Amino acid sequence: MSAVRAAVHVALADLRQRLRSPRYLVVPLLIAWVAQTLTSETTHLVVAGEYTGIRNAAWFGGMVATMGTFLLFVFGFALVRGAVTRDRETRVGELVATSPVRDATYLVGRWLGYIALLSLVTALLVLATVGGYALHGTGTFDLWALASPFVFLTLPAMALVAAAAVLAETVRPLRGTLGSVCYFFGAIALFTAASLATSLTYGPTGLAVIRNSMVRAASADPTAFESRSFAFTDDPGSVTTFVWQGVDWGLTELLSRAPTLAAAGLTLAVAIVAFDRFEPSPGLTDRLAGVLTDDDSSQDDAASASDATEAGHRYTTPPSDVDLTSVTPASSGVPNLRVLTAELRLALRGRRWWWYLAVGSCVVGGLLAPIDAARGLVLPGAWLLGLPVWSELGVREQRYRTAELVFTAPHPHGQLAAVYLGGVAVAIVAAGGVLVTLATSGALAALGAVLVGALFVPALGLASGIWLGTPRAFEVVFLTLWYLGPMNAVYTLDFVGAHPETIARGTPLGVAAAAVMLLIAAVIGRSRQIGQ
Amino acid sequence: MVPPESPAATVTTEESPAAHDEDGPRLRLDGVGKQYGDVWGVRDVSLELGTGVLGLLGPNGAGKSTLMRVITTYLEPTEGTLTFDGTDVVASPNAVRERIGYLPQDFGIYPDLTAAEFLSYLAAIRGLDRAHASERIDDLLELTNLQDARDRRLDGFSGGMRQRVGIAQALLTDPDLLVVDEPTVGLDPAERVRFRNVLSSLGEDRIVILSTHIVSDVEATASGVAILADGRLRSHTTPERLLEDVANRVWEVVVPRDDLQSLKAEYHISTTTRRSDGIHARIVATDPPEGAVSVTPTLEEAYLDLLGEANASESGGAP
Repeated sequence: MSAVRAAVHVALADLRQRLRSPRYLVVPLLIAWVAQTLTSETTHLVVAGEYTGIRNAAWFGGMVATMGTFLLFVFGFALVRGAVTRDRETRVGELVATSPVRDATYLVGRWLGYIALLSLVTALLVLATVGGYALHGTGTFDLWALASPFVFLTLPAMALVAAAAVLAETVRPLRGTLGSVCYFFGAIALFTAASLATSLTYGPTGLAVIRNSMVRAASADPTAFESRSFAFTDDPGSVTTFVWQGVDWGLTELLSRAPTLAAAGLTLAVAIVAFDRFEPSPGLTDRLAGVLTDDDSSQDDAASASDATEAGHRYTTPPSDVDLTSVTPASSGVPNLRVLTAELRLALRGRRWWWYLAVGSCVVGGLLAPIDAARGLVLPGAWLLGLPVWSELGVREQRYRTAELVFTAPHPHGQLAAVYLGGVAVAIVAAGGVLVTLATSGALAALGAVLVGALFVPALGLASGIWLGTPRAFEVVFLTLWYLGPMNAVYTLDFVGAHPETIARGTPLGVAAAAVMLLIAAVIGRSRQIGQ
Repeated sequence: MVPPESPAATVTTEESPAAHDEDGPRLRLDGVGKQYGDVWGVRDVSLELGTGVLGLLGPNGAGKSTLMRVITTYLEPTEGTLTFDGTDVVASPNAVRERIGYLPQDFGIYPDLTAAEFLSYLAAIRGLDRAHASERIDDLLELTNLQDARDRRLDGFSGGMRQRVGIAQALLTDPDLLVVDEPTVGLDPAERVRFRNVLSSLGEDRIVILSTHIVSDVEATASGVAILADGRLRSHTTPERLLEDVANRVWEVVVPRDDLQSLKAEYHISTTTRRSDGIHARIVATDPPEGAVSVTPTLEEAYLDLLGEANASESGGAP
């Protein structure tokens, strides 16, 4: 079998696996919602501060492509990532490792599989845009003008996203939550930096290509600072309307995609070099990196050595001579302290020393910092540290295939409650310093808002994990909420109560209601899992 | 799996094994079935079990694991009733879970935990207090020969060691009903024999359901045998009665290697052994070939014979 054929089969296997999962049904729904929202008559794109286009096919294509590319650039990583990890966890990797397939062929296959999935999503976005045009558009339908931004801007960006996903799965320290966090903030930073420049058209999402073309068509001054403005709004104010017929795809525009494609190739090359071919023993770089991550493979060598001697069991105790202690279990539907401790210990197991140090620092920082800094900086930072704990809450039994052991124990819903309360405990401990500061300052409303947040976040992790079976969904939602709410003062999303305005607007009440709904969803989901 | 219109099979239950101890725990299944979409995993299974080891046999896809998951409350039956000591398993699953030990066929572990920590975690969610759990875990680690590995992380365990951890966790709560699915997979021969002895001992005062493809494990431990095929119960009897069914019908014949194919075409061969004088083939037949010598049947031959009969019955051929 040729390398190309092998890579294509690796890609197709992943694509088939994903397309048969009902979880991906949510993707077309989200796409339809995004396209409908962007193409509705209440959403306007204003460029250069005062111009908006006639709502023709090109305008719709440019509008949806820029926003769609941005969304897929930031969230597509979480959508596609996981095939290499799945092979590792299901031990299919052992079959791959012992097959003649080369590392590059296997990883290129994975990359192609990710690109195929993202291309499919892009194609759905094009279709949804066509639908939006049919409902709300004007003028002659020009398919090329509508679809070309997706072809020349979205797809190259997806190549980079796919390569980043492969890289995150091959570099040991990035395999877990740290990879998601690094990618999320890296993608936001890269997009923001590229968007601020007026003349740089080679940003990863190609926003400037569309924007510059629109600015030219609007006859605005391309050197003016306002020309950098590219805003979606429901209140455009007083704007000048112009006709945009789409990007004139010349050599400059096409070459602007070269850096993104080159970055994708380079990222994939690094992934191929870093790939361990599912070898469980860490290399030198992994050992060094492991000091800073959750991986603790220090016992692997000892374990292997011990395995070698395992054949020489000491059968000194015949089974008939082992007198088993008689026990009488006394289970209860309400989790007791022992169960809570057991779940908390399990949730925290594997965290490295620096994690505890960072959490401790947040506690101390919360005690010492001024109240505004404690709420606005220390608290969000502390809860960012809780992300790897909460992202595991609802998926642990599926991920480690312990469901049959855990769910056949008495009162599995009591165990679920213990898992949740363990997550709440982590949130409260991490926010401990801030909570004390708020309490001693008499800021009881703020104190309540933080406690509501502590109830909300583990509920979100639990429900999304149980229903979606992956930690990535929670990671993405949490990071988005965290970035927009506490860090960028979108008060309705400020689930930690970082800003005084959040409480004034009653956001904690909504967060509390969401927590209750999520807990109900978690219980329903777990009941489904038990008797499926 | 049962096809949607699978014909009902004849079940040999008229001489089901009697319970050892009428006062011990009792499990009753009445017309139990589990459907996945359009396909039945098991259907119309009725059994009554008392103390002792029940060997659950059947080919791949017969529904053994589905039946065990239903018994252990992991799956809800689509039809039928299960009672354990008179308690409805579906209506009161927690009452039953407190008395069940379960070793699934394919289970995972938490790789960051040590063997002792993993067992301690499972003991906690199964309602054992710390002191009793600690003592019990010590005993079980000794029973499974894992004392020296108790403080090692599970991600460094071999397959056999993980299986022994699985066996230990199934016994954590001193269960009245022990359900073990392929428990000896991955164990070396010495450990396998050791675990068989443990099962026999445990079966003296509790119900043990042992699902396996290794018929010799059943032969060594079970007081009763249930055979599933295509999701239906084909037989529930004792090993002795199963053996009686093939008494005087198992033969050994020595043939040249070149004649083996023609022998296979004509007879149901259970095993072949290569020797210097030719191939020694054991066959199950009413009308043996010339020169065949009658031999003592094994449970495996009785099982294969019964499966062959069931298949012939379903396909409309002569048994």
